[in-house]
Amino acid sequence: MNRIHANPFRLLAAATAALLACGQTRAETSEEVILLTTPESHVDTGIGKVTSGSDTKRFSQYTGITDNTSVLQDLEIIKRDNATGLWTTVSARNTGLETRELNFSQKKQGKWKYAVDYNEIVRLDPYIIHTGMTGVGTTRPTIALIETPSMPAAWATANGLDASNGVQGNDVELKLKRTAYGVSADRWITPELQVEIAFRNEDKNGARMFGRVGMPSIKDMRNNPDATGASANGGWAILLTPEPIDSNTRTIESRLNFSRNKLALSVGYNGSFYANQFGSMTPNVPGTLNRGTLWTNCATVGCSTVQQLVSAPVALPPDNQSHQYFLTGNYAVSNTTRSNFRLAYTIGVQNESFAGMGLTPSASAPGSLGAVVNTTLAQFGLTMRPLPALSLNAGLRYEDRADKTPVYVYNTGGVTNNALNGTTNWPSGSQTRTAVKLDGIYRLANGNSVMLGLDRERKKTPLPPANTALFSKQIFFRPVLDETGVRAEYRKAISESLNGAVGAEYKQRRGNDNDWVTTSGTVGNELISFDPGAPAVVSDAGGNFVLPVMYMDRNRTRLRGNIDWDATKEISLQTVIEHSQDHYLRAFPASITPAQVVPVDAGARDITSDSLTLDSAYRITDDWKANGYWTRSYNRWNVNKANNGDDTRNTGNTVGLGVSGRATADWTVGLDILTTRDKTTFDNVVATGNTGGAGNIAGWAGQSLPGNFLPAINYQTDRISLRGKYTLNLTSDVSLRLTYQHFKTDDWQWGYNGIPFLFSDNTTVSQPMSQVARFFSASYVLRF
Amino acid sequence: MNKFIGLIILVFFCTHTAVAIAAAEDDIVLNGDAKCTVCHDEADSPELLAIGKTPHGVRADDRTPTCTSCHGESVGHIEHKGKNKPPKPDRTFGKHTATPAADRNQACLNCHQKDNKRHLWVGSAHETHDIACNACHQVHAAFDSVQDKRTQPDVCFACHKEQRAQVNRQSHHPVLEGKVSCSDCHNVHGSAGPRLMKADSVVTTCYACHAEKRGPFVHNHQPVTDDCTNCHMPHGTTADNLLKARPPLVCYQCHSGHGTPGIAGIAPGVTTNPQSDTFIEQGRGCLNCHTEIHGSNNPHGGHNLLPSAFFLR
Repeated sequence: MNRIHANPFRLLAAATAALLACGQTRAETSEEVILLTTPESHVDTGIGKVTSGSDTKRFSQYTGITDNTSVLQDLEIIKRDNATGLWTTVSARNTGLETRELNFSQKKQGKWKYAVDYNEIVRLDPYIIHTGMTGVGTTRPTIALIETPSMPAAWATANGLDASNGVQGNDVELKLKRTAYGVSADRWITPELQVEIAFRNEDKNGARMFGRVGMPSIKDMRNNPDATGASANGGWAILLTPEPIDSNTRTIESRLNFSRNKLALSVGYNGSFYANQFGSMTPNVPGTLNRGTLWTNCATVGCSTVQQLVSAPVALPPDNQSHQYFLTGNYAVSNTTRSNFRLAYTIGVQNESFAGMGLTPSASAPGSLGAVVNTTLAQFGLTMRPLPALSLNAGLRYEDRADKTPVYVYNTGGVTNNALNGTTNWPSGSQTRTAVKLDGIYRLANGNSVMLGLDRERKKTPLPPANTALFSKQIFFRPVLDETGVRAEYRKAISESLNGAVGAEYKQRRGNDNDWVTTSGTVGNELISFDPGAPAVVSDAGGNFVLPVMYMDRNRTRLRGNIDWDATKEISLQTVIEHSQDHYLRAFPASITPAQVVPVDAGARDITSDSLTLDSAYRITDDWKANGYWTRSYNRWNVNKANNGDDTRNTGNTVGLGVSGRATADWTVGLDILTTRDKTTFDNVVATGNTGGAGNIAGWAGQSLPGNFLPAINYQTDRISLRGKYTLNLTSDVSLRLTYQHFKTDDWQWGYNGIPFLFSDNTTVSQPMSQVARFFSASYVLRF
Repeated sequence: MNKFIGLIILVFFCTHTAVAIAAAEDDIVLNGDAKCTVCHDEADSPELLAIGKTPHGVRADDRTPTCTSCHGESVGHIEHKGKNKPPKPDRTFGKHTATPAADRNQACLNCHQKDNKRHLWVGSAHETHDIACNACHQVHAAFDSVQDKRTQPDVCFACHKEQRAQVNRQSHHPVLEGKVSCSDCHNVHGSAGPRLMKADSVVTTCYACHAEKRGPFVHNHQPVTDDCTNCHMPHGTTADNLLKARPPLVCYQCHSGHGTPGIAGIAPGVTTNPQSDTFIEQGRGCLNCHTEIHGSNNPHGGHNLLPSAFFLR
C-alpha cells in the first residue's frame, strides 16, 4: 500500500522536475530577456560651450546657455522591484544650467505614488538696453540722462535734444527666472476609489520691458507739447522703466476619483494663489531730460509738472486668488451610448489693499477693489452609436461669468476739462455663453467616413455700468451675439497606402444692429442706444474710437485637406493644406455719410491664415533614414485704422531636413537642418490729406507714395545640428553635438536708418541684427 | 485496481499541473503571454518585449494586461498551422491596421477610462476624428515620446504642421527648448475648454502660468478677460510677446488709435517732430505709454496724473 501510494507521488515529483527542466529552455535565455524587459538607467556627463561672443541672444534666450562653458549633466535612474511593483525614479536634467530640473518619485503601481520635483525656466531678454538708469528690477529705478547716441547731427538739433549733458550709459540685459518645486501624491484607497493631491510653488524673479510716460494730455505727445501749445520742449517724457518682478504663484489641486462599472467620477478643488511682493513702482526722475526741463505751463489749467507726472506710482499686478470646485465624470448608459459631464464653480478674488500696494485711492474709493468674479460651468455630452456605422455626438455647454465687483467712483482727479472725472472702475465684464453642438459621423466601408456637424452659441455680455462714459459715441457695445456654424469632413482611404481627408467649417456670428449702444459722453449717464440708420456724428476725439472686435459681425471659414501616401515601403509623403479666415463685416450700413465714416471703416476686416506643408520620410536602409518638410504660411492682418487701411502680410517658409543612421558598428550619426524665412510687409494706405501731415513731419513732406508704407521686415534663422554617438561598449557611449545657428533680421522696431528709438533719458534698445551661435558639447553616457 | 486509480490520478494531475506550470514558466514579460511569446519571443520580435520596461509590464500589479487584453483572443492567429501567413490578431495597431480606431481605443479605455484626464474623451475633437491612442503612444516602447516634454511636440507636429513652423519663429514659448510642452496647455484626451484647452477656457489656461494677468483690476481691458487669443498667438509669431501683429496694428482691430501709420513714424531721417508716430510704431508701439495693457489696479485715475483708465499707470 505504501508502495502504491508512494509511486504516484514519485511520479508526480519526477514529472514536475521534468517540466521545470523543460521550463529552463526559456530560462536559459533569460539574460537577454532581462535586458529587453528591465527598465534602463543612464547618466550623462559632459560640457558645452557657445562661441561667438555676445551675438547669441536668440540662441540663449530660453536655453540659458551663454558664452560660458557649461556643465551638462543629465541622469535618469529607474529601479523597479519586480516582486512588489515598486518603482523608484530619480531624474535630473540640465543640472549645470539655469534650466535645471530634478525629480524624485516612488510608486507602488496600483497602490500609491508620490513625487517631488524642482524646475527652473529662464528667459534672457533678447534686447540690449543702453541706459544710465540704476535700480533696474526694483520698485524705485533712478533715471539719469545719458549722452545722446551717435546719430545725424541735423536730426538731434532739429529735435532740440540736450545731447551731451548726460553721463555715459551702460548696457543692461533683462532676465526673468521661474523657480518651482512641486509635491504630489495619490493613493488608491480601494480599487474603485483614488485620492490625488498636488501642490506647486513657483517664484518668479527679475525684470522685463515696461514703461512710464508723463504728459499732461495726449496732445502733448503730438503737435502741442503742452496745454497751451506754446512750448516744444518739456511737454512730455517717456521712459523705459523695466517692470520689477518678485512674485509667487502657488497652486493646490486635489481630487477624489471614483469608478465603478459604468460610472467614473472625479470631484475636487483647485486653488491658485498669486502674490506679488511689489505693489507699485515709483521712478525717481530728474528735472531735466533730453528735451529740457520737465515742466509745463499747463499749470494754468491745473496740471502737474511732467516731472511730477512721470514720477507718480505705477500699479503693479495685484495679489489675487482663484478657487474652483468641480465634478467631472462619464457614464456608460449602454454599450452604445455614453455620456460625460462637468460641473465647475470658480470664485475669483482680488482684494489687495491699495495702501499696501503703495497706491493712494481717491477719497470716494474703498481701501481695496474687493473684486469677486464667480464663474459657473456646466457641460454635458452624449455619444450614441445607433448603427454600427453611425455615431452621433451631442454637446451642451453653459458658462456664466458673473462679475460681482462693486462699482465706485475712482477717478476724482479734479482737473478742468478732465473727461474722466467722476468715472468709476471698469469691471472685467460678466459674460454668459451657451453653446450646443451636434455631430454625426457615418463610417462607410473601406475606411471612408463622412462627418457633419452643427454648432450654435449665444454670447451675452451685460453692459458695463453707468459712470464709465468717456466721450460721446466713442466706445460701442452689443450685448447679444449669436454664432451658427456648420462643419463637414470627408475621409477616404483610396488604397491601403493612400488616404486623405477634406474638411470645411463655416460660422456666422451676428448681432442685432439695433442693439448697439455707445457712450453718452456725459458722466453719470447710462449708455445710449445708437441707431445705425440715423447716426449722429460719432467721435474720434483723441483717436480713442473703440469698436471692439468681440462685438462685430463675423464670418469664419476654415478649410483643411490632407493626403497621406506611402509611395513605397521606404517612402511616405504627407501634404496638409489649411485656410482660415475671419471676415468682419462693417458694423454699420455703408449709407452713412462721410462725416460719420469713422465707425464704418475702423476695426478689423480680414484676418487670414493659409499654410501648405509637404512632409516626407525615407527609410534608406535598415540603418539609415531621412526626413524633410517644407511649410509655407501666409497670414494677412487687414485691419483699418480710422481713414487709413493697414494691410499687414506675413509670408513664412520653413524647411527642415534630417538624416540619421549607423555609420559604422560603433558610430551613429545624425544631421538636422532647419531654415526659416519670414517676411512681413505693410501696406498702409494713407488717406487723402494725411500724407505727411499728421505729425507735421517736414522731412517727410513731399515724398512720394508708396514709399510711405512701412518698410518690410525680414527674419531669418538657419540652424544646423550635427550629432554623433560612439559606442564604447555595451553600457557606455560618448555623445558629441555641434549646433550652428544664424539669426538675422532688419527689424526697425528699435531703430531705423541709423536713428535709434530714443527714450527721454536717451536710453536706447538694440539687438545684434545678425547673430551667429556655435555650440559644441561632448558627453559621456553610462547606461545601467 | 488501486494501482490503476493511482495512475489515473497521477496522469490527470500531472497533465493539468504541467500545463499550468509550463504556462507560468513560459511567460516572459506579461502574465499569460506565453501563448504569444512562444512565437514572438526575443529572437522573433525583441522590440515587443520592451513593454516589460513600462508600467504595463509590472507583473506584480494584477491590473496589468496580457497580450490578449489588447490584441484580443485571436484564436485564428494562435491556432494557425501551416506555412502560409496566419490571419492577423483580432486587434492590430499598426499604421495600416483594419481595426477601427474606436475598437483600438476601447482596448485602452477598458482600463484607462477611469483616469480623470480621460473623463471627457468621448465626443472630444480627437475622438470624433478617429484618432487612436496608438497614433500618439508607443505601448511596446520603453520610451514613449509623447510622455516626455522634450519629444512630445514632434509627436503632435506629425498632424499639427502649421504649429511646427510657428514654434520656430523668434517669438515663441520655450517649446523647442524643452521647457514647455503641448500638454502644458492642452488636454488631448478631452476637456471642457475650447480647442482642448487644459482648463475650462483659454484665459484660465493662460493664468496657470501668467496669474498676474488674472486681476481683476480697477480698470480692466475687455479683450484680456474675453480671450487671450484676441491679441496673442501662443504657438509663435514674428512680433514680440507672441502678439498676432506688432502694435499698433494689433490694436487697430478695435481702436482707431493715434497718429498716422507710415514710414514717417519710424524715424526716417531728418524730421522735426517725430515723437507721435514714432512712439506708436517703434519701441513697444502703443505699449510705450499704455504699458498696463492687461489692466491697471491704480485707484487714482485722475487725469492730472495720467488716466489709469487708459492703462497708462
